[in-house]
Amino acid sequence: MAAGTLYTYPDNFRAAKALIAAQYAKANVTVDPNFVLGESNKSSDFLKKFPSGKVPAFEASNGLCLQDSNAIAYYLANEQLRGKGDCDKAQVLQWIGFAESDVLPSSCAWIFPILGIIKPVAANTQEVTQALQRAKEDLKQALSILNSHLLTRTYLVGERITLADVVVFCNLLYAYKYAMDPDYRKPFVNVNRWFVTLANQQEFKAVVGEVELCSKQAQVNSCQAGAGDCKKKNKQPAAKKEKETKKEEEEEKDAADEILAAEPASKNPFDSMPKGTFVMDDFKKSYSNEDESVSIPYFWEKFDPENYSVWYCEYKYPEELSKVFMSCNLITGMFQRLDKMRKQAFASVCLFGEDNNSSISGVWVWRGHELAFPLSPDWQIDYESYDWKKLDPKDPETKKLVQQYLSWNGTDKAGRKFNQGKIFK
Amino acid sequence: MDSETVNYLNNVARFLKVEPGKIITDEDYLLRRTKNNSVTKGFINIILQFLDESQSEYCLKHNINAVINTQIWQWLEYCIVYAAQAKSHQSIHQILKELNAILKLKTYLVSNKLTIADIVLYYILYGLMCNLTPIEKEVYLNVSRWFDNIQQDGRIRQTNKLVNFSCNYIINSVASLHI
Repeated sequence: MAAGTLYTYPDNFRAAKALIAAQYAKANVTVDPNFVLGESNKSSDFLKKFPSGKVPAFEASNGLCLQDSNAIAYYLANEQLRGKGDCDKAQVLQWIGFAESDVLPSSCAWIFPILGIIKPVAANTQEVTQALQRAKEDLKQALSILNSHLLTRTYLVGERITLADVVVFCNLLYAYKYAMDPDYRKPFVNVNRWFVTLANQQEFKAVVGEVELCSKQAQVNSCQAGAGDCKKKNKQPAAKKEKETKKEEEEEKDAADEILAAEPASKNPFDSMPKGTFVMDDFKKSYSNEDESVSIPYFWEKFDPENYSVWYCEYKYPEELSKVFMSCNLITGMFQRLDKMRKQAFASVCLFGEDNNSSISGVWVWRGHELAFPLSPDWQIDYESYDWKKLDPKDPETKKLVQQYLSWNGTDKAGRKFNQGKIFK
Repeated sequence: MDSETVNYLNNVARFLKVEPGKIITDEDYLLRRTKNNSVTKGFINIILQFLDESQSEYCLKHNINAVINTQIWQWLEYCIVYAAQAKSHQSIHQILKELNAILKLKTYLVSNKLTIADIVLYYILYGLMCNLTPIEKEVYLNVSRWFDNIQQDGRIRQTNKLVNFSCNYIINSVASLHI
């Protein structure tokens, strides 16, 4: 029987394929609890085994290394899931191909901006709304094909649950959960029936939990996921216009190009400040490699209050936070956008509470005594969604706060328990 | 009650791998099962007793949810009161029409998984499905789909034949007429 370790971030629909297959085959799969996206999969050890650095990745107990969710799911599956006989096997492959080429691109184009995985840079511009519209139409087409196939069949292949069902199900999962409202999915009765049946199978439930079908379409603009982003849009129309006129002639360029193009020109604003005696990198090394009982005293010993400051931040709109993973995307998204601050700043931002009842707050350290974000236009996207308070490094309360946030425990002001933390370093 | 109903019960017993004992219709037209000198009366009671004896996954006590058990009970009642009594053309089509509407939105009768209700209904509908014309099978498409899914399991089907639901049927027969 197959056994091994799966590397993935939580709530990954791709990893779900492998985990559901493992449920059916009773394969012994453990998800690596220490995996951190963007760190673990960038380490040289990881890249040696999995050259693309993509997750999910699977290392079998016999040493076999596999990438690509469908391959992993196939490896972990049993006879029944892979299809009985060559006819069924070929059909299973056919549907996996369908799931990847016909379902995934359009469902991702629709879902990623909602989940905040892709930054909806310009959710209101014509190109983006057109692309979204096209994704919706494309997905409709794929669903019609599925719908007519499932009119006379209970499952996709061979009247029993196979990998074909698992893979198409997972690729549709987030669309069903967050995007396709009852009106949109109404014509696809057979797909809906099939989807709900699968979602209620014990083996599926064990991996994806209770699936609640979308009742109202989540909006990119509703500030749920990309809260920081849309606030920026509302508050800085002037700045945006300026940008737009700049790239009038290169409208085809997408957001990534735009950011890349802007990069060489901008200097690091921290360069103008005195360096001080506190060496950020040394502290970060200590924090990463040693226990908090060592690294926190180290921090206070080396900290240079003349040239560095400690700040406390709190997300202004906790009532808008819904799913925990969406809130985490919000934090990591902010970190990504602040990438150029990394060298002179450190932060631990924590999420407290659970789905639909949570708050975000954190402790920051950076060079200088002023709020660092206005220094660069690149950094101004998220900070206005937070309340900032400068902390007195001599105050014992500050020490307590730093202790709490760096060691990831305790509760927020409303008593919500620590859920998870993200480190900016 | 007739010998057919006794047959349904024997099928269920064989599927659950329990000893059916002696099942007859008594002078009050009531089903009566005699096994080890104990007597059980009534269609649903006998099935529930089978389930208890089988200790299989279909046992109602495995369902924590009381609603599911009630729904299974309700479908068993439907099976014996309506489906098994459908003899006339009109009543057969009434049953198929009802089931077709229900199975449009469901894969199985109760709770998204195969239960004893599906299995009993399969035995009861088997003779009726065999006699449907291809066009009727298409009219009651949702019933056909459900039936085809159930009959794929050899343990349920036992000695019953696979009923053909292939859409190519008409094309093939039409082609043969033209050769």
